[in-house]
Amino acid sequence: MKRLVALLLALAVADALLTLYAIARGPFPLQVPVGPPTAYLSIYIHVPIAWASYILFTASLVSAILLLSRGRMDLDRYVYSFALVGLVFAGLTLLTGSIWAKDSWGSYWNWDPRQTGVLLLFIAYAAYIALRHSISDPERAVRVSASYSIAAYVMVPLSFIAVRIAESLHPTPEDTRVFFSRPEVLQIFGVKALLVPAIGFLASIALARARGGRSLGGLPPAAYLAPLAVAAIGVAGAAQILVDYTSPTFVVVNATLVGGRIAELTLSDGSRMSFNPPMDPPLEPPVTSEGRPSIVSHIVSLDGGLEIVVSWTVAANTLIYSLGVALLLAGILRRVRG
Amino acid sequence: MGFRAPLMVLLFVALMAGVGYAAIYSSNYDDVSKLRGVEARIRAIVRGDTIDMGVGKLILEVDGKTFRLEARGLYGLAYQPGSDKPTAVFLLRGNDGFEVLAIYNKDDFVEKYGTNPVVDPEVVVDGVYDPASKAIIKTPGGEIVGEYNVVFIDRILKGCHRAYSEEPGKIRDA
Repeated sequence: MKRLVALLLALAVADALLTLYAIARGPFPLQVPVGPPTAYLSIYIHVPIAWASYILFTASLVSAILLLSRGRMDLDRYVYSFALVGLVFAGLTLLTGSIWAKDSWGSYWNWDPRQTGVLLLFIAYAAYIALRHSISDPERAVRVSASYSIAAYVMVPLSFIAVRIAESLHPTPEDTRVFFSRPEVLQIFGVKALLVPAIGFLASIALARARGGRSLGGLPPAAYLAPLAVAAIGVAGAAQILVDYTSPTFVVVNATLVGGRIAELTLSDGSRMSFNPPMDPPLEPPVTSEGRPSIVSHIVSLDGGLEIVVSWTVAANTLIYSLGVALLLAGILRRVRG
Repeated sequence: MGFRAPLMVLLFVALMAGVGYAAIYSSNYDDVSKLRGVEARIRAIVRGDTIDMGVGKLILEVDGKTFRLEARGLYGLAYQPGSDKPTAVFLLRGNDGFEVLAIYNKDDFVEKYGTNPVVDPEVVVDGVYDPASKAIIKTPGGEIVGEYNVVFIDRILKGCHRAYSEEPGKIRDA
C-alpha cells in the first residue's frame, strides 16, 4: 500500500510538471475555428482527463459485473472507488471543456451532443453515488447500486459516439488523427494520455483498499507535500500565463511577412505596427501550409517586444485541473492514513 | 444470482440507453431547410452548406439598408456606408436546396477571424431567423443576383477554418 501511494504521488507530481511544459511549449493547431489558436493547448489537459474518466468507469463496470456474477461482495469498494474517482474526472472534463469552449466555440455551453452526453454521464454516476449511500440494508445497497452502475455505464459509449449520432462541434477521431499522430504532439500527449488515467487508476485502488480497512498508519511528511506541490505547480503555470495580461494585449487581425519575417501587423484596435527591419515571428512555423501568416488570430503583447500571449482559458484549465488533482490526492491521503 | 437481478440491470440499461440516445440526438443541429415555412421570428442553431458567391464587388440590401458587399468565395464582407468595420455574410443552402443569407450580427468578425478566414464548405450558426427580413444581392449595375430570407448570426459555431488538419505550430523559445 505504501508503494502504491508513493507511486501515485510521484506520478501526480510528474504529470503536473508535464502539464506545465505542455502549456508553455506544446504544439497546437495553427488555424482554428474561433478564438486564439493557443486555446487548443487545453488539448493536453481536457482530453486525457476525459479518457481517464472513461477508463475508470470501465473499471467500475468490470468490477460490478464480477460482483454480481460471482457474488463477490468485496468488490463493491472497487465499483464505488472507480466510479467516485471517475466522477471527479468527469466533472473536471465538463469544467475544462466548457472553459475551452468559451474561447474556441464562442460560449461556455452549446448543448453540443458530446457536451450533453458527458453531462448525462456525470449525472448518471452522481446518481450512483447517491443511490449507494441511500439504501440502509448493506447487502441490498451493494446489489442495487452495482446493477445501476452497469446501466449508468451505457452513457460512456453513448457520449463517445455522440459525434456520430448528431452534428457536433467536437471533432471526430478521423479529424484529429493527423494532429495527434505528429511526433511532436505525440511526445507530450502520449505521455499525458498514459499518466492521467494511471493517476486515476492508482487513486481508485488506494481508495478501495482504504475502504477495505487497510491503512498506512502514517506517511512520511514529504508525502503530504505532494498535493501542495501539484497545486503549486498548477498555480505557477496559470500565473505564468496570466501575468502577460497585466499589460495591454491585442488580437492580430492581419500580418505582412517579408521572407518569413514580420514586416507589419494589423491589430484588433485597428492600429498597424510596422517592423523595420522585419522581425522573426514568435511562432514556428511562420506561415501555415496555405501560406497564411501563422500569427493571425493570436493574442499578442507588445510590452518589451512582440510576444504571443497564451489564452486565459488555458490558465484557468491548468488551475482547475491541478487543484482538482491536489484535492483528490489530499482526500486519498486522508483516507489511507486511517 | 436469480433472474430478477439481470432483468433489473437490463431494464436500467434500456432506460438509460433510451434517455441518453434521445438527449444526444435532440442536441443535433437543424438543417437550414427546417426554416422553410417558418412564419414567426425564431432563435435557431442551423447548419448549412456554404455557397460560392464568386469574387467581386456587389451590393447587398437588407430591409432597405444598403451595404457594399465584397464577395470572397464562400463568404462576403459587407460594409455599411461610412464604416470600415465589415460584417460577414454567408449564403447557406439546406439539404432540400432552401437558401438563406446569414449575416454576422456584429462588427468584430475581422477581429475574431482575421481578414482572410478560411471558410469550410459547411457552417453552423446560432442566430435569429426572421421571415419578415429580406435580403437582395445586386450587381453594381443594379441587376438582381438573388433574393433571400435572412438569419442574423450571433455566433458562428463551426466552419471558419479548419483546425486539426493543419500543421501544428508552437511558440518559439525566447
